[in-house]
Amino acid sequence: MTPTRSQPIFLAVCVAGLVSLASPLGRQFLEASLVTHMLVQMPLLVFIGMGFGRISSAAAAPYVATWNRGGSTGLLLTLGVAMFWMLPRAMDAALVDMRFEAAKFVSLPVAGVALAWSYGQASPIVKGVLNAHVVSALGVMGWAYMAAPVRLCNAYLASDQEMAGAGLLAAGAVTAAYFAMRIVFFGATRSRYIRTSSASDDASIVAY
Amino acid sequence: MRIRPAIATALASTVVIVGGFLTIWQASDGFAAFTTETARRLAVERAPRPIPAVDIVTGTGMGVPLLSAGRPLLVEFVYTSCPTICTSLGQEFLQIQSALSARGLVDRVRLVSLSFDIERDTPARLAEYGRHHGADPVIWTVGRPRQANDLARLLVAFGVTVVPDGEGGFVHNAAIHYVGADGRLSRIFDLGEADSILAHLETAAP
Repeated sequence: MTPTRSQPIFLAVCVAGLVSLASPLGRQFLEASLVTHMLVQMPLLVFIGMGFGRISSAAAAPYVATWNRGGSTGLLLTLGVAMFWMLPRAMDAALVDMRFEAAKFVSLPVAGVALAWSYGQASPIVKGVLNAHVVSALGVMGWAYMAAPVRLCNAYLASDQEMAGAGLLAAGAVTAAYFAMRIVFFGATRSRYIRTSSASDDASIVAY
Repeated sequence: MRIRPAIATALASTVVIVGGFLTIWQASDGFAAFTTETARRLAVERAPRPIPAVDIVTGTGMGVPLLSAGRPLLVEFVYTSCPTICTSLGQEFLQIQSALSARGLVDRVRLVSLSFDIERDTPARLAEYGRHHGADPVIWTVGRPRQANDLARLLVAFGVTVVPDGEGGFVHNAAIHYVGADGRLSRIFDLGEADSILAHLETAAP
């Protein structure tokens, strides 16, 4: 993001979002149900991280470009964090163990930062694979949560689990529609590649 | 000298992959347990957990010790107003009770239906639950912890999570817990595993 006058406001919104999510009231409210825990709180933490990442990506580029060519390190970090929090027992643990809860509030925003620093530098093939992976992961998880014969999280009701599954499927459908629209209306992949590849060249020039 | 980006990135990415793999390996007991319930079952098999020796109130209103020396227990958690899963648990216990009687293994084990609804499950309701499910008091005890403190200790020791469902009922891990003669929880069985339970009782030390 180029420095503009709106940037401090954007930063303030991200900080305020993080603080309210981490506040006891915010946690109690969103963690009472599996649906809001998984489909509101956790994505918001990643989005807030992406916000921080957008603001800081230009400043960070000289330091991280060498270690994050094509965005691969950052994208792998994001994938790893996402996979960890897809473990039903990790979510259960976050409810009863403060260490897990703290790890969640750190790792998800960090994953968002890594994603924002890295996605733009990825090659179109990597982006395509990632986009497809997100859609299929949401679909598979949604189906698993809806069809599971047992409760996956001890702390939540089975009806919550079905709703969360439906929510994941819906999120997958919306994501797929978004990617499809971008291709239809903007021919996204190609034009973005040209723009971002020049941006990453700039970054590597700075790095040398 | 500057490190080349290709090498630096390969290094950093490898660190992230290995770190992520190890973290998830650790957090899932070697990709064996993705849910808390599976993890609980693995944990007690690897390291049997001592169960607190508390008294339970039975249908007669009398207090009896939960653990009896030298006799293993099969414990299931229920609440008597449960319309669904506890009924299946009751049927499973009846099936095990009949099989034990038929094989002359009545003195080999005690069955305990343990209510966690200590507010509502009075001795009269516990007795009614036992009658309804055909519990033979010689082998099958229906009871509840005497006080909230004992209940909390039992739930922690067994690793059972009870969640109110918002309609006066509860959701809880439905399982049959094997507590050995040494008073330690060492196996957790699923509903529908009566055959495995019986086989386990026959092979376990009397």
